[in-house]
Amino acid sequence: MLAPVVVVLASLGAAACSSPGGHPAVQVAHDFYAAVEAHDGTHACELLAPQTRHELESTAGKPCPRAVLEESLPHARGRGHLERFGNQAQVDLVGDTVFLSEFRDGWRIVALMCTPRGAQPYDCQVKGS
Amino acid sequence: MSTRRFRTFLHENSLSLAFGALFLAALAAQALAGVAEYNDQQIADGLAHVSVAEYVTSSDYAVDVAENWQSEFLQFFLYITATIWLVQRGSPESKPVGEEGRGTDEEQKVGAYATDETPSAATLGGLTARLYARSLGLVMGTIFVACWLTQSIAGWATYNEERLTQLRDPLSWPGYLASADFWSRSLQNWQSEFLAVGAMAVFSIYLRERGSAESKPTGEPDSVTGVSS
Repeated sequence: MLAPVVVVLASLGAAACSSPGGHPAVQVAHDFYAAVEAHDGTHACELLAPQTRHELESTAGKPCPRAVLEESLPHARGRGHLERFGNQAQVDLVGDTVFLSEFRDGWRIVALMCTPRGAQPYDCQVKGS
Repeated sequence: MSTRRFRTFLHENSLSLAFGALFLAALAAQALAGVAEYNDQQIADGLAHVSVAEYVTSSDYAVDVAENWQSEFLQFFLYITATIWLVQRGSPESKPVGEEGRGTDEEQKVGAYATDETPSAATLGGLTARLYARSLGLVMGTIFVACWLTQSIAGWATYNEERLTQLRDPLSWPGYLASADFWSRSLQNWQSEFLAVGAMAVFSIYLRERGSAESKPTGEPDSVTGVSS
């Protein structure tokens, strides 16, 4: 009976304590900002979740690679503090908090340019509908 | 095992085998219904589908299973231990009024009153015999605690996954233990178990199910406490 508890504890412990710098979700957040800094809008858009990409295009009225480079994105950096539960993750960088979800082809950003609002959801400038 | 012995085995263990089969079928069906519900929410959130294999190893499935398991084992733990000291006049689920307590060695067939058929653990004396005399409640209570702990951990992960989907900060585990979600999941199961136990204790005073081990004989008076069949 204790075996399932140990398995759950071990898996969740691994989720909470995994090295944040090496986690794919953190890597995606870093890659996104690296792509933006390199003015590679195409690659930056590949790292956005489908709904987020669609919302960005709808709001800007232009293709994602152009729209994403025209956003007033912060200069986010740092190792990043990771919180991951199941298929959802939050990466706190210096300058931005990014929310990600795991899809078949890897972790993708669902919201960015997020600022905390206490108990309310983060106010995110870019997110899916 | 010969066919005849196998049939005898099935017959003599039909109660546990039937409920074991029902349990596995319901657990599998819960997984199928659960993954459909989970993926429906994923579609609404614009997120990825999960397979059945991914779902049955997820915290979402674990918390739904564990929260029901813990309440069932709590129910039996409390019923087993409460009926040592508490009675219900007229109920076959109760000892007769006046016989509350752990009982004498003679009533329990231990110590000087042990027979050749007394389980060996009950005849060894000391801690072993004391543990054996409480083993049913101890095992039920231990399983309850383990399942409740599992519920708290799996529930914490599921709740935080939902919070991250809502673009909210996750809670710490102690924070989750103080949350409404944890206590709502626990109490909604506990209240139904307490109701069922109380209803069984009272209904069985006045109602009968002919042939059931859980019922008084049909012609037994309402006033008779305990099963005399």
